[in-house]
Amino acid sequence: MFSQVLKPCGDRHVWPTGSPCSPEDVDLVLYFGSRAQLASGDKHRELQSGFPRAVVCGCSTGGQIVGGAIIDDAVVAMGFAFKQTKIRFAWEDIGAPAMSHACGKALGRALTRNDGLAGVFVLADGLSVNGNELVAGLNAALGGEIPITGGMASDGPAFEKTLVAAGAVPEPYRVVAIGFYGPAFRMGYGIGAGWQVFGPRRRVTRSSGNRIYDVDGLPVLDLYRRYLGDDEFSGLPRTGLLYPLQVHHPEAPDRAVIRAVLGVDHTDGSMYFGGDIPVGAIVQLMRGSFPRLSEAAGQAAAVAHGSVDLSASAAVLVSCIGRRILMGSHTDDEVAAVVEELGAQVPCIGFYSLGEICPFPGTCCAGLHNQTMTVVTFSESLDPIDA
Amino acid sequence: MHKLCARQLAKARRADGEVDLAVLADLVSATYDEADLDRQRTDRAISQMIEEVERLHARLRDAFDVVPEGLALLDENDRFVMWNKRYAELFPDLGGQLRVGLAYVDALRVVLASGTYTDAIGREEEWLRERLDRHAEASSSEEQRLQSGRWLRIEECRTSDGGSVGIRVDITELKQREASFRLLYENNPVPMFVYDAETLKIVSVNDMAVAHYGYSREQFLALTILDIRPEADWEATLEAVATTLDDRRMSRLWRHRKANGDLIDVDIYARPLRQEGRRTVLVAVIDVTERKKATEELQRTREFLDTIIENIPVTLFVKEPIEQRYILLNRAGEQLFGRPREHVLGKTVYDLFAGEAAEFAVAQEAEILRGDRRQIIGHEVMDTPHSGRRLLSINRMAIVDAHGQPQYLLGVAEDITERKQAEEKITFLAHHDALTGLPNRVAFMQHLAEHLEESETSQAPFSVLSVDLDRFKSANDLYGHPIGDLLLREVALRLEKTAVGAYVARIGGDEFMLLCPDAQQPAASETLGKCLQAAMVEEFELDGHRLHSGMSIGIAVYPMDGRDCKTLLANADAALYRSKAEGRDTVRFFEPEMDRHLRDRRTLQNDLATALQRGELSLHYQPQARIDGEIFGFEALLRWSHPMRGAVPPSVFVPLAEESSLIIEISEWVLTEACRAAVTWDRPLTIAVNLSAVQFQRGDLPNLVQRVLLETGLPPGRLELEITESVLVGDFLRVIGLLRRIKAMGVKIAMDDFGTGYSSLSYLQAFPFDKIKIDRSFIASIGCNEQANAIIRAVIGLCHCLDIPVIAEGVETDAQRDFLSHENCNEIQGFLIGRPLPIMSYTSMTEGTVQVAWAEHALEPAAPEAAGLIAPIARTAFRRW
Repeated sequence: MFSQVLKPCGDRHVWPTGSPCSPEDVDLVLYFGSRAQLASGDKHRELQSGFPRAVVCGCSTGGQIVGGAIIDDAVVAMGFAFKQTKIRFAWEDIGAPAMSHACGKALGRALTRNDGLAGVFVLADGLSVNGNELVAGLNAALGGEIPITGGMASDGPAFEKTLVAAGAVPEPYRVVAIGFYGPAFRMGYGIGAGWQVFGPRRRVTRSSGNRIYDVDGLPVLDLYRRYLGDDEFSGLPRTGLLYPLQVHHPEAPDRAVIRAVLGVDHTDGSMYFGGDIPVGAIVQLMRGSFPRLSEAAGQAAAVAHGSVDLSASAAVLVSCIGRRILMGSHTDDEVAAVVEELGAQVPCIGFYSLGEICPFPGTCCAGLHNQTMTVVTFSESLDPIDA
Repeated sequence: MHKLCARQLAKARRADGEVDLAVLADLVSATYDEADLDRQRTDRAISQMIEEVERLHARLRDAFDVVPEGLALLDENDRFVMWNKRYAELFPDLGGQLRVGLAYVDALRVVLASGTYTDAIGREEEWLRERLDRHAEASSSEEQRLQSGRWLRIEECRTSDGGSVGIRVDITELKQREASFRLLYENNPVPMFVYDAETLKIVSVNDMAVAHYGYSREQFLALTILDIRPEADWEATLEAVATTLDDRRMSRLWRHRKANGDLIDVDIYARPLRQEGRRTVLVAVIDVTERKKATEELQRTREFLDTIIENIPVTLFVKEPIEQRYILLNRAGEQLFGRPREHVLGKTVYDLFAGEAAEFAVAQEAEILRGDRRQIIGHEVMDTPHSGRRLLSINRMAIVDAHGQPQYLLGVAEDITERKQAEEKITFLAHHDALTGLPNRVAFMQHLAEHLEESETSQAPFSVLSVDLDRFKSANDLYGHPIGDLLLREVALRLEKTAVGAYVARIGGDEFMLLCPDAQQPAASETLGKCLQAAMVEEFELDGHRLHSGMSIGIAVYPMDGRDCKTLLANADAALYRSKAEGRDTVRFFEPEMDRHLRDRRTLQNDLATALQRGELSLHYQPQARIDGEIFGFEALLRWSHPMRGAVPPSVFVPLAEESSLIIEISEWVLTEACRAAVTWDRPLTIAVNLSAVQFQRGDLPNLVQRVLLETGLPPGRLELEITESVLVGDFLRVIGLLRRIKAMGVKIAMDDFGTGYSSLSYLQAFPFDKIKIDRSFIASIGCNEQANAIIRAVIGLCHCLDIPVIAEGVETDAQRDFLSHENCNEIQGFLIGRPLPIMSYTSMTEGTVQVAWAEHALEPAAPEAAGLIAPIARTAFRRW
């Protein structure tokens, strides 16, 4: 396969000259940008016309990654030209978060209508979709054996509306799943967090879906008020991203996920998170230090790199907006750590998300993550026998 | 240069390569702000953490303090970090010296110095060394006795950080319990032993086990629990051992073998124990051999009783006393209730029976349960599904416990429907006449007595009617008993139909009694009598025979004819006799005179009973002669010479004798006496003796004749026995048989009174009579009545044709004799030949051949008393003697 980051040229993105193949050979274009940059659909139309054969998909973000840097002022895009791998995509608009599971299942079924599915990359509205249920639905349809990666669209610190483009101009409520088919295709993945738990373990005593009301019988907001201090408490939910929860599900206490704060409802004293947290779950506050977060991002890249037998031809990074808010100017460090691990020759774009989709470490069973750096690599075997 | 600094420089560098200081300053400033924020957050987190930790520590200490054991945490240098209240209490000697950082060894020394550890006294250093050695182990446990007499268990355990946790448990109570247990075990009156759950070896036994099983203690300890069981139980034993996890009683009985080889049945209680780290089981054994035997015996008895209960033909049910639900019902009960017991048990009487019956049963049971009555026996009617309405005799009773509280309600129900019906039938039969269905004598007497009692109060007159059919005996004789019975039934029907309002009863034979309750006496009785007679006017048509029956009626009226039953009945009878005497088919009211007649009759009958013994009876002999006048024999005739009344005519006393059984005795005497007399005569004259019909019905007549002939020595050919036709009516064949046997002896049989009765020629054909005697009534009419002459002529002609000699009796005149002679009559008897006289008077005849000189005074005047004394009822049986 061949892939490269599209080169910005004025307002446009173009296929760099001197490439071994032409824009007509490009099978897939992924692009990420702020909601404002994408909302008009012009960028999508421009890319689709520039790469007429390609499946063009993208989403709004809380910051774009390209090369080793983070940019906010420009859209980033990458084209993929496969030799043997076939691309198909399916999309659904979701009516209500409760439909998330069904949506995931429908998309999974759509993709498995063709044989040889080897990997799935998902982009979903980050505010209207219950990421947990979406992934659970996909897992249910795909049997938990096909690697599923991707992320939830973001709109930066606004938490108002997110957009997803799926072969058409970006729209809210949309979910797209891109399937990669054929024995030559390889999708590598690694996930890194670097957050440290601190303070006592607490039990969720009142919750509903992704909302928590009480922990250890006390209002959850009081807990956050104590740790954030009054100044930062008023900055919720943005500041809540600094203190995600490590969650041990009561039915699978050995598997921990990180859940970032997505919002606060002062009317009923609840906080809602990037995934469902049932009553009885054991939760523990987490905090991050800049060096640890960066280090973990580098490790994720190493894991992704090592997870397939071929060196990566392209990489997509999905990192959590919470990491960026915490790390501020140090955020570049985690991106740099990834690039350092992958090597500068691997074309690489990415975005800051409201949730990362990636299999749990050591398994093929995907889950929704928060506050992680997820590294997805793409490669294609030249000799099909290798598959 | 710091990477961030380099990146900021790169960002601040303008296109021309110069660094834009303003931009750089902004970037650096932002970084500083971020650093400040991060530090603030860190500080806040740390202070929060400290707070949390302190809270946790406090909570931990609180938790420590509520633990009932003494707890102490030591660090890797064996110094105290934390301990709880209980720990401090257990070692009061440490007092205030217990503090964080105190070395464990120092603490031990303080306690040692106080002498608390009694086993360490005198060897403190050695003791200390041993203790510290154990303390250094990964974990250790030991029991320590204290000076105070209490016991501590000391458990210590090394923690992952090199420190240790020490636990001190006061086990004094446990130790005491152990001692108590040992005492209880050793001296328990129940055989007990302990076995090792792994090896099954018996590891200890108590005294009672030794005594009960007969093994010595040493023998016991060499055995496993299999050795004391029969081999067949081993598998089950092993299975039971494997599952003995909790305290429990074994669910089955086991067999154990005693030292002498006897097998005993035992109930086992097993309890798992841990002894010195080994799994053992304590077993208590209850020998139930005897109890089992008793239980089996009880079971057999129970089955026996169950079988009885199940099979007795009487319904038996049991209810519980609370809700009175059925809990037992036997087979007879199922049949009675008409449903299987599954549909009865658990139900109440309301579920099974209609409201009223159920209410009744419940009320009775309530009475029993309240203890008002222990037992209620009563009759109840029950509608059964299959057997209709049944009459039950139900005996309900409570079965009470030792305190008198009802435990069960027992009911025994006997179906007495049939029995009751039989009783009623018997009662009916006892009071009714089987032939006519009318009330019988007993019933009439009862009714009369009851009515009399009422009338004594009201003084209302009423009457008793004694009714007798006229000539019933004749009809019976003529047509036979079946027709006689039909007649009685018909008469009964007509009586009932006619005598509306009267009580009609059949007293016996053709006698009926009526009670006329109408107070209009005697008019009502008279009317009734007339009506009854009128009802008899119409002919009876019975089985093809048409016949008439008149009715004689005697009436006695209360109170004037009697104030008691006996008198009323007797007087009604007296009136009836009078009615009969006055020509039958009449109605007579009682008159006091009638009573006298009856009394006379009774007196006479009594006198007759003793007449024979007193020698008041005698025989007169009347000569019988051939037509030419030659005397050839005598007829013996009975006479009674009453000491007060003088001569009583035979027509009076013979019927009285026939009514009682006196006739048998008298007849026998007559026969013997006549034969004896005849033997004494010089001339071989015949002697004729009359027989009574009664003699043919009772006694052995041929035997009597033979015996008398033997006793007297009279040649049979000289004896002639006279019978009337009435003897032959009735059991004709039997009488003929008797006559044949007598005739076979050589005795002659004569037919008496020929022409007066039925004069059936068939009799003459059926039996070869030796003589026919023409009745005196025909002889008396000779010369006056041509018809009589014709009859005599015909009879004589008939007899000649049949070659039977004829004798005419009652010949009193020469004219009569001449007529008879003319008609070729063979023999004659009568006053013309000689009156009946004692044999002395005829000595001349018995001693020589005497030709009778015809008497001149032929007629004997009639006995003056005869007319009044002859009872009308006796007339048909009247015989001349």
